[in-house]
Amino acid sequence: MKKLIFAPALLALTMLVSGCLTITPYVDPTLGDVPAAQHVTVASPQPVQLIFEFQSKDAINRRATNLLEQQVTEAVQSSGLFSQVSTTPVPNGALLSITIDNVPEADAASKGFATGLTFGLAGSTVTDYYVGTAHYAPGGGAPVITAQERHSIHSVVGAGSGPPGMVRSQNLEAAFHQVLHQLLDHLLNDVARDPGFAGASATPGAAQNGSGGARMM
Amino acid sequence: MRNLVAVICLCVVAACATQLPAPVSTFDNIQQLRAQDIAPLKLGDFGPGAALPEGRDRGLAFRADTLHPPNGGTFSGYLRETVSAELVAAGKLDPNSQRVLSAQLTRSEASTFGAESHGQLGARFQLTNGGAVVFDKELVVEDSWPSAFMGATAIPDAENHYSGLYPKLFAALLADPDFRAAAH
Repeated sequence: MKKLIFAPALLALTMLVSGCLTITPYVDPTLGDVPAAQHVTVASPQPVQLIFEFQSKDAINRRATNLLEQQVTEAVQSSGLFSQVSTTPVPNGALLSITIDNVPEADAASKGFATGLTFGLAGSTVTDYYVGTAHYAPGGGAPVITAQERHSIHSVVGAGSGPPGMVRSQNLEAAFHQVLHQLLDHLLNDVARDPGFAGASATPGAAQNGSGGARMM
Repeated sequence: MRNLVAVICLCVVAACATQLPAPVSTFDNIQQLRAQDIAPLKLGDFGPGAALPEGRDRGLAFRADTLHPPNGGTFSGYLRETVSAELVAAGKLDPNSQRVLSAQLTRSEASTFGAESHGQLGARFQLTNGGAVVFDKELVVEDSWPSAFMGATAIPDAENHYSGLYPKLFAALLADPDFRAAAH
């Protein structure tokens, strides 16, 4: 899991002398869940070929990709937007690509060094940013629909209180899965509400949702 | 002193071997395969080129770590698996095709020292159609990225970037106008 949540892991590595390390993750509440009323419904779901990639700082992380592939596939399948999710080509030629890029805070290591020197008494807060991108090619040469959303986990390492307004998670794994779930939920909904998405029916109010959104390319 | 040396040796051994996970297909290459209307291909031999340093096809050093291809294989075999994954995902792999794509790995390098790391991957690709050579060219791709001082950060970063050169090399092949003309 530390491969998926890089900043606190990196910080922890710089604090080996302390021996009493605690990491408390907080999920940023800005993105949140897609409200039920804004979920796009599909009248006639079509099959889709799914490509998933987890990246670390813009480079593909194959281990994390393999680790999360099944979970992402299940999330796409359970969205109800597609009749079938496949790793091989589907009859209508539709192709969905989902990429999650983990960008840890730049100075996590130096923060960890300072916290380690004080045996955790001077706590540090480090942030992992996640950029989710979805590309949907409907097939038949139709324009590609692109959606992008951002999320983050703030981790308090050592003593200290969490950032104001943040939602505390049970542990790093729970925080990451919540972030992944919310990113996928928003990305899929962004793609599905695009007029170019085959089989989707327009949902009132959906266009005001989230910080990201879909655009044709 | 002997115990200390033994412990250090154990630590080095324990931390020095990483295996590449299986390759995955990429959105851009699938789209390119479809858009360029590449004919279905059969894969031929993928092996090390004559100029590739001995052992380089089976392992590549990243500071104290050595990266190995999956399942005791070779990096030239990994290139074949990468191309295969892309072709399968695009519906363009056909074991009965008259067009056969082969390759020899000519470069496989990475430098992870200093403020910036570099990686380079090259292969000489050959495409035959009914036994006649219709394309024969060496292609090389590179990448560079900021290098962390700490190995715990720098090594996985480098291995991620290095493995990313494989789909990038295939993308370079798909972008080559001579290959497009030959594989059409």
